[in-house]
Amino acid sequence: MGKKVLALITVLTFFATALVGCGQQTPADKQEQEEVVKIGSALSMSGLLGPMGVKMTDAVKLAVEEINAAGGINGKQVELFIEDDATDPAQCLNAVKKLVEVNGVQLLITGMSSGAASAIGPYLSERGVLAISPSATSPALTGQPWRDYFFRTAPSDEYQGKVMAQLALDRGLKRIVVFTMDNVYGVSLGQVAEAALKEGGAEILAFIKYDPAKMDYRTELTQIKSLNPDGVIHVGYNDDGVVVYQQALDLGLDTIQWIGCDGVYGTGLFKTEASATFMANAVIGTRPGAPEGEDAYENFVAAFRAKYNEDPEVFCDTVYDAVKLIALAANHAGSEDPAKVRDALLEVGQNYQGASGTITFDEGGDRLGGIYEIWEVVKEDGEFKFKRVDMITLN
Amino acid sequence: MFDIGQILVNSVVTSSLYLLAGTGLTLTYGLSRFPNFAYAEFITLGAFCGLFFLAKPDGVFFLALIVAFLVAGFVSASSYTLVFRPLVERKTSLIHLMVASIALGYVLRHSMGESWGWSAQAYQIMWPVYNIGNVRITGLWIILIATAVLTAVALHFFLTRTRAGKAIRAIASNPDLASVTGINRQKVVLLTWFFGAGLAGVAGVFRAADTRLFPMLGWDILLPIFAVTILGGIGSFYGLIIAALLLGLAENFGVVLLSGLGLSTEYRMAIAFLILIGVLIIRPKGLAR
Repeated sequence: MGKKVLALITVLTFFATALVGCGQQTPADKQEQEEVVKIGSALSMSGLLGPMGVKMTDAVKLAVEEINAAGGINGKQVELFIEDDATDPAQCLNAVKKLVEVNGVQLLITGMSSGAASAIGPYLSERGVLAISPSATSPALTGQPWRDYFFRTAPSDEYQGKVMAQLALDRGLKRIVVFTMDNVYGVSLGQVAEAALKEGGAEILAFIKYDPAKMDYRTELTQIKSLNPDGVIHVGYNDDGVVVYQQALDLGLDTIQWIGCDGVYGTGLFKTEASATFMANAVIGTRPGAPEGEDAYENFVAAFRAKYNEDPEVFCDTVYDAVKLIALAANHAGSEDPAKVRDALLEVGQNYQGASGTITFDEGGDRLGGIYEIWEVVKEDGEFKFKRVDMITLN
Repeated sequence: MFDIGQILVNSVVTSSLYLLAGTGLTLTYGLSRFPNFAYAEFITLGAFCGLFFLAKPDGVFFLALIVAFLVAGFVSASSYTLVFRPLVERKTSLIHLMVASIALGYVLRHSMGESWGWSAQAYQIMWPVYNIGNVRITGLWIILIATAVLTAVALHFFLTRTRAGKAIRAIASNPDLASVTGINRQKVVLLTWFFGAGLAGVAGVFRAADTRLFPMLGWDILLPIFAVTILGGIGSFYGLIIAALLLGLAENFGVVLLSGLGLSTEYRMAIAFLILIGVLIIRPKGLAR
């Protein structure tokens, strides 16, 4: 018995080392031999962010298709590798490692959530592979030591938090509860909003952090109810958002004003009648906006519709821009070497007219300024819809 | 600064769910003497069965409960016959049985994931809401609490007044002696596996109706359910009732305490488990033993 187990462990260890071994030797040589440019996508196609990530991955595919139709990168066709990180930062790191070490990818679209971005950042920097995140928005990511190989095409929530706070202040809300999911994105966006609210003279009654995977928030909501606030600043995602809103409706919390964010924008929130009803009754929110009316955006939307027969949703435009920027930078550099593409990215990423508007990166790889949409939910002809209330441009 | 009435109601809702979900676990442990980790999947399976009836707003909730009960019970009884009984007959150790149950759980969970998808789904029923003073209560909670209470009462009479119920208790307390008295042990064990998992399936429908539906649904609440059964004294149904109430209260008041301290409410389970550890130090075999 003991010997058998020992033998088994030896064999397994051997295989494991062998596998890791091959992974590490090959990627650089491989990429040069083959006449393709490999781009990897590791977004969340299941889990809490699944509903958003699937559509974003569609936008990645669209961008790659267009790049290939236009002659590829440096005369070579792009081959796309897709992984799913299941909305789990650890899983994201595994997926990125797999893409880099098994598939030999060196240009990536990944780090969909801020937590995932923090998990993969050091690895990217250490391995010298380049990634652009289309949707990690936490202010906490700014200035991290690993940012040399990590860019983002979504503006930092430094901007969105202020817009959320302003929204509350404009409506005369004075007593506010901040209710956020306990992850990098939720807490940092909540903190920005909290600071801006305090500055604007509002009182913060409580800052409640919840577990997004718990899927039962009745007691947290009961506490909000007993605090009797004028408004709630809520940061969540689609999947937990549905539960929060349907349970909030149960408790009658639709009589106070809720202010949501990009994470709770999306048709995923209409999965239950109760959640949709609550949103129509009580929720307004913000999200990075699209420069509608501008050619680049309208062309993107038309192409997306033509290919998938549905409208793009939040961060589809920023992910599309991320892929296009990688191609543009690699062409500009005349190379697919991640270090050269990175340098080129800082050059071409100045006043770049993308689908998501004008993109200008600062030295740290953050996007400057942002366009935000203020949205509400309405019921028209028995169907729930997100509707624009206003657009705000920040510089 | 908090609403005691509402938190009490919330606690009872949580407790009712734990009670329904924990009953099967504690009864089957009493008979088969190993913790069945695949039990989580019977909860999830019940929830997915419910989806057949409740994917549309005009679904019949009662029908979903019955079908969830039958399907989860059937799969549980089959898993006992096909997987666990052969192992038990070969006098396999506790560890092997446990690992087998974890393995079976994986197979079931991933089969459900492949069949229904990994992303979250939801029932479409809208529940009426009632206001009693400051306290709000929904139709779903009323049905859930009523189901849990009725189950507890029915089980009490079943265990004390019927032949089959007495047989279950007899086998649990002394299997060899029970066999001598002419009790058909296999039949009683199989029946318990069926009935217990059926209740778990019912709990799954309630959980999905109250929150969301996804393949990890059962697994995510397995830990507190185990905690409840252990706190109650595993194998003891009456201990389970008390433990379910205790843990429900601890979790819900814990949230108030945590957010008062500015901590994440993720720690609510930690509070529940602190209580568990505390009780086990004083009463190592749980509340009822």
